[in-house]
Amino acid sequence: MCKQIKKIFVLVIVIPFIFCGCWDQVLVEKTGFMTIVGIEPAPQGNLKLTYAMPVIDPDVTKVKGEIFDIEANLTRIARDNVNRRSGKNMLAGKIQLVLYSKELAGQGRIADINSIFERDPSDAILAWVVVVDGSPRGLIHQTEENFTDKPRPALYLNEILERAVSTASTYESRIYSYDLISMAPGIDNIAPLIKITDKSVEVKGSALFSNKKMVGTINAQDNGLLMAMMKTLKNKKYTYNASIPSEAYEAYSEKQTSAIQLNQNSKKINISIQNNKPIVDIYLDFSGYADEYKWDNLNDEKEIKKLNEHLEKEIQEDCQRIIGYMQSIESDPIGIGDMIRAKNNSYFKKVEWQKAYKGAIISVHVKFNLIEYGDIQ
Amino acid sequence: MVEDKNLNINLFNDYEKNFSIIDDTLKDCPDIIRRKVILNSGKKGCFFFVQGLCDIDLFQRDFMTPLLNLKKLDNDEVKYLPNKIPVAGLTFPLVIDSLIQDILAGNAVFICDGLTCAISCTLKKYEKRNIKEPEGEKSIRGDHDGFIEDMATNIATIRRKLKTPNLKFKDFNVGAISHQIISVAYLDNLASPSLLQIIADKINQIDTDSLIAIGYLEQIIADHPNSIFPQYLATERPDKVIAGLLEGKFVIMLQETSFVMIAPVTYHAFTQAPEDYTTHWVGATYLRLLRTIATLIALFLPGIYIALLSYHYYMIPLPLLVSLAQSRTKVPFPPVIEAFLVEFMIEMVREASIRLPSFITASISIVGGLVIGQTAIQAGVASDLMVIIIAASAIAGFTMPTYDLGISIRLVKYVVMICASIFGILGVVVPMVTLVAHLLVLESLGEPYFQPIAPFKFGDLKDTYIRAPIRYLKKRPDIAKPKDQERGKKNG
Amino acid sequence: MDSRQNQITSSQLMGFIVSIQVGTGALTMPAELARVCGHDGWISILIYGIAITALISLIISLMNRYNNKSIFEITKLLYGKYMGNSLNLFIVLYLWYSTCISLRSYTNTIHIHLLRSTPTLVLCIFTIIPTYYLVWYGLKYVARFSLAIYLSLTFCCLLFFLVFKDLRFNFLMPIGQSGIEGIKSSFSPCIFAFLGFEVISVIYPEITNKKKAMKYAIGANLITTLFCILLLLVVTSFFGEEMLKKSLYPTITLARAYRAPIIERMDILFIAMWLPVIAMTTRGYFCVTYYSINKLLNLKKKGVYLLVFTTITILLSNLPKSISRISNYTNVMMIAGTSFLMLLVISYLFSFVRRKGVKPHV
Repeated sequence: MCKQIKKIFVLVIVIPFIFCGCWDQVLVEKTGFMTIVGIEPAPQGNLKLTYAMPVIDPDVTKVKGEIFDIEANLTRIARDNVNRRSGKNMLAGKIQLVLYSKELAGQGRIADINSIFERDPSDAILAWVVVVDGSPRGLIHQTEENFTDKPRPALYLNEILERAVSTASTYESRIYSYDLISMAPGIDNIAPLIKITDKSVEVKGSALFSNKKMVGTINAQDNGLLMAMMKTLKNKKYTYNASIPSEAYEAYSEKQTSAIQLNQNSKKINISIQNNKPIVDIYLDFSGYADEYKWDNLNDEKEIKKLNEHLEKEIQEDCQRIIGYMQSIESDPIGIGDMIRAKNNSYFKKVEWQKAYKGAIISVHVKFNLIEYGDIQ
Repeated sequence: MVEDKNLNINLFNDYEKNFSIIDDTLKDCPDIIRRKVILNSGKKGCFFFVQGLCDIDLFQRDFMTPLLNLKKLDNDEVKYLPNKIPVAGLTFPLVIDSLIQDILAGNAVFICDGLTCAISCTLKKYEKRNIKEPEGEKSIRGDHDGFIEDMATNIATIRRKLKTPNLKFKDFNVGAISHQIISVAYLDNLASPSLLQIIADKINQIDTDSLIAIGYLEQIIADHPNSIFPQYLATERPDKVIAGLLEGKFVIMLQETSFVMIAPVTYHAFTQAPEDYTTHWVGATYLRLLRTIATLIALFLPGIYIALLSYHYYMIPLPLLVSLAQSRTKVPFPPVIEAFLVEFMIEMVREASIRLPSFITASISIVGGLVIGQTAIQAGVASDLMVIIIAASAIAGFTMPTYDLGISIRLVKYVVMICASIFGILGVVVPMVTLVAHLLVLESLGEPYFQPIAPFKFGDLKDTYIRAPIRYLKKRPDIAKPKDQERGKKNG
Repeated sequence: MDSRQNQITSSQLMGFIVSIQVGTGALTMPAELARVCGHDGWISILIYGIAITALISLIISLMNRYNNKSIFEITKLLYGKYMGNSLNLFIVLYLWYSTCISLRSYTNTIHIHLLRSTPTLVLCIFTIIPTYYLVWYGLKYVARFSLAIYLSLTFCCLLFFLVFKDLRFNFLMPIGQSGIEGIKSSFSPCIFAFLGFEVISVIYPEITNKKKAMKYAIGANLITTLFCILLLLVVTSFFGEEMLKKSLYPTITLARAYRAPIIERMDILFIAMWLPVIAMTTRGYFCVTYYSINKLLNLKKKGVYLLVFTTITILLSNLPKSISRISNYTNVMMIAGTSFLMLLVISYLFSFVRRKGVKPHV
């Protein structure tokens, strides 16, 4: 009796292994893993999607990647449609970039579309969220077909975006961070902005959002200063194109501008509420290396002091300009609303932050120190 | 035939009767020489000895000559015989059965008319192997002697290295036909008597014809005979034995085998090489860590690879994924079949190379490498990354210092591969957990097998995955429950 | 050999308790707490952790009043034979129910994250193999194995350090926004997270050095409390309150959101490390249930009964048909657990009144 039960138990364990069809098996050579998705709006609220995936069959040598265009009302329906056409099973686990067009971003539908990535556990939520100035479909087709001197589009775009982040030309926004910032009150998103030019793709700067809708753009140079105010410029190689103080004596060159590499030492934000208006003071402390300057001008303490003061003024003007622009479009990527919510919660609950942000008085105070200037004076 | 008749009887007074009984029992044994003599006093006598086991020179000079020169020999004279016969081992057996056992063991026996006891002396000489380093356990800086089949030499080797009166040997007799002796060596002031009692009980219950190799003994007295992990350490090196004795462990030696067994052991004893203690501790720690990582690679790398390829493609970084997918499109099989094909080919080469004489082994390895590596990839039977992974795990399996564990690791690897092909990464985690559970449950002579990980003994960890400097190795490990925990007291 | 098989030491007890408590709790608890009390979940955990520590000391002092008895014998002594027997039946049923529910949650997690199409029955059978093997040999080996939880906890803490630079501590402020109502309404998820220590009352006779049992049991609870607080702090400051309200398994999403240097995605590694932890909850309850069935019914032939028990557990755990139903069942388990704790407190107070069999263990 005992032996019989043991035999039955062994059979019960073994039989599933024999009969199993390896239900969930996803063989890598039968999978088309999409690397880039491009989404733009279509009439009647539909979406125009473009999928790009690398070609892995050895007998196909002419093209490096495959592109599918489809129009549907949901991303998942579009994917199923494409599955009816493609040579391999299309799966979304390896998506590196999601490209949205400016119109779609302006309509505020990015957060909705992102929900499919969060829902499926095998999807990548580390993909970039990028806004395209133009048509993503056009960009994908052009990079795939015409760019013969560049690596694979997904890797190429990944590379330029990562390098842009490391030089503070844009902000690293991935699906998970995009989503959690959309949900959080008092802080708005930023996404990289790219545009296709003749033979390459350029990272133009960042796109600014207000309440999930895209409302403005900021160029790469200003983005560095915005980074300094938002998070920090530490570990980033940001080069600031500054003008030279007019009194600077020069002997050998006619240069009017210079290039200074800025390192951020610290950032402090003080917030207080007076007369029902938020007063914000941002203190920034920079130190810099003079990368490109006039010949023979920095040997003197006085010259350096003049340069420091001049640069402080210039950076401050630029920062104020950026903040003024952001206030006018009601976009708050620095997260001042979030800080007010944290420290002065009662005030935050009373007002609608978008409107109050416009009227807030934000001033920037900059300190700058030139540390070194390379091999010549 | 001997067992049928009851020979547990004393020698008779009648010489002819004694002779006929012994001769009858030993008939058809032409290697047992019967040398009849007539003594000076006119009495008849006979010498019995085995031709290949007895030292003829000493027999003639030291046993036959004094006996033949005696004036008279009767029951009174037997008292003075030890002074007249210059032989080291001299006994006077009374029972015919023990007489015959003595003859078969290699002694020379003399029976005589008028004597109620026989005279038996130990003059053994037979062909033995030279002491040389065992083939399977070589060491670079350690000593190069090993055990041989003759137990007296083995005992002498141990005695040479541990000159203490506390070194004791306890003998047992096993084997209904082979009559072998099992000798259990231990240090009296260190070993735990309860463990000795457990060993004695186990050995006393053995009922078999003969123990041909040490493996037979191991499988009979193991705590868990169905487990693939060995619970006793079999070795041919004396330095491992000495180290074990000094930690309070027991060494079980079997007559006519060159392997001895050390008990009780933990799992980590199988991953330690004698080399670890002869070199500096930094290098030894590095080698130990390397071996641990190699074990993990040998066990789980093919399984993880199959799981990632078949179920979790998104875990592989993108550049690797593209080239991987490109290489896999040429192969018509799913990954698990391909893995087993390559593994099977490697196993066949390995098994074949054991059987062949050594001068062909080199060419077999070249053929095997070329066939398995290059041609299989070009024919599209295997992909290159798969061959690399399977070869890496096979080589990692070879780093095990002991042979027993190598087979266990290979078996577990196959189970992991099959489960991974059905369940993905879950099929790697569940066999891993089951393996750890199995190791936790195993016991070696009643002591937990997976010490010092579980039950956790922090002090013993210094000698498992790392090797602490010699000055920290002062305490004996707890596995054998030694009576004296510290090494090296001044009074020896 | 039977009696030696089940004996555990106090430090093994600590690992055992931690392994039952951390498990399913750590995965879903942050989301539940966010839904109930916003970003102040960690304060609730702290308060309830301290309360449970007091409760544990109460339980152990109850056990110490009787000489080497488990809760089954104590109920019979305190409440008489019939009521004691029915209470014992309820306790065993509660333990069995917990086993089935935790097995089902475990299979659910695997089903969602790893293998979507594999039938749950096959998953159940496959993952219950190590549990079956260990419980066959006894409580001692289950407790020995549960020491592996420290390894997984260390790995999880490592993950927390890796995501450190992405944390926004402003999400945690203002502290105390949800107030007393938040703490009151977070009773249910918090108690569910800490549930698991009540098995001390069942296996108390098997602990060898009882003098240190109190110290180790409280230590176990402290470890769980600290780990839960750390988890909550990191998860809340990473995701923010709003996002947390919408997610289901925030810990795994945290692992998905970290970009590792070479392997890009870390979530499968994390899940592979965390799966044994969830399984240990099931294993703990499974072992204690089997042990108590053995003790109450005095069974002889081990093999058959373990097999029958396993089969019934697997079948019962397949009963809930969908995830939303599972939350109902876990609610029932939480209520049953709380009533078991109430029973223990009442028994402690009652044992001063009815002193039959009270012999403080020296």
